Amino acid sequence: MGVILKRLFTLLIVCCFSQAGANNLSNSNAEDFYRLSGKLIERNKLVLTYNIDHCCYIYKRSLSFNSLVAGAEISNVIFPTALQHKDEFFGDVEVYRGKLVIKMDVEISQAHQKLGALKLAAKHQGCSDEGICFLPEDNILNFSFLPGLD
Amino acid sequence: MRNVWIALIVILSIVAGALLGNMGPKIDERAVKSAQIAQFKDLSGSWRRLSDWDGSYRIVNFWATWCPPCLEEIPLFIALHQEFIDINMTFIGIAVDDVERVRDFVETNRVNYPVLVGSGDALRISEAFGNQRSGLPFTVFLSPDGTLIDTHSGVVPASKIREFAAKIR
Repeated sequence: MGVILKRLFTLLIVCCFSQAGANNLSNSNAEDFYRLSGKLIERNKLVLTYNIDHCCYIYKRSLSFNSLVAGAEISNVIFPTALQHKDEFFGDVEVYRGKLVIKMDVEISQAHQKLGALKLAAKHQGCSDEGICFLPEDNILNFSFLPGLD
Repeated sequence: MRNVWIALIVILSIVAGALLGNMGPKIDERAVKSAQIAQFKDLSGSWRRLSDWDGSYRIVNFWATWCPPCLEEIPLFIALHQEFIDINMTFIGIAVDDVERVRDFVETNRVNYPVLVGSGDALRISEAFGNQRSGLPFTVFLSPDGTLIDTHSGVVPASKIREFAAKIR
């Protein structure tokens, strides 16, 4: 009897873990599917990385990046080659999946050469392969031009 | 024998977990009722709420012009709205979008049912109906007294709407 109880208890524990896993998946939202990070390389080179969940993709045309501080502008954005995707309504469009690395320059005006930080707005929009699309999302990233303050 | 038990436990756990996970979110009935008195502008600029259609079965579709699967299913809604015009059921679109883009789409595609427009607030309303992932399209099936009958995330199959209509007839 004790052995059966022990096994039932084990079953209960594993069941709880399975349930937790199932709930985590169904509770996921756009923020979980598109994780963005960024790194400032030197004073004027920025590298952004989107880690896109295997379920989803981002439309290339939805990507935009803007500086939110006076005196700093984003320029020369370099996108990797995109994948072709056929949309019922939008026709052939370019999308990204998996790891997306985007490089760009930060141009700082002469009058703002002592600028210490950059605030960047990064916009994207994407959908999942099961036919669900997510609201265009703005991420705000902060970078410090001073070493160690990122 | 021990290995058989372990295998059995793992299989049962996965099945139980999957079943429990598919039971869907617990819906807060009060939030569902509150969602139906939230106001959105229609394309003529008048404030409307879902409760304005109390007394009718409602198929409420949250959509956007930037969402390809949303646009894919709208012709079906247009056709079914016409097909079931004689029963007590209406389609209502709630666009999470810019009003001008919605107006263009509605006019170009001759959408024949009421369309309301919201922004992030419309998405919050869809979440009250159980749109856990905050994705579009998301469709809600309401009874005449506003009770939530069913929801669907993604493109709704025509069969699901036909079954809903058949129960109303």
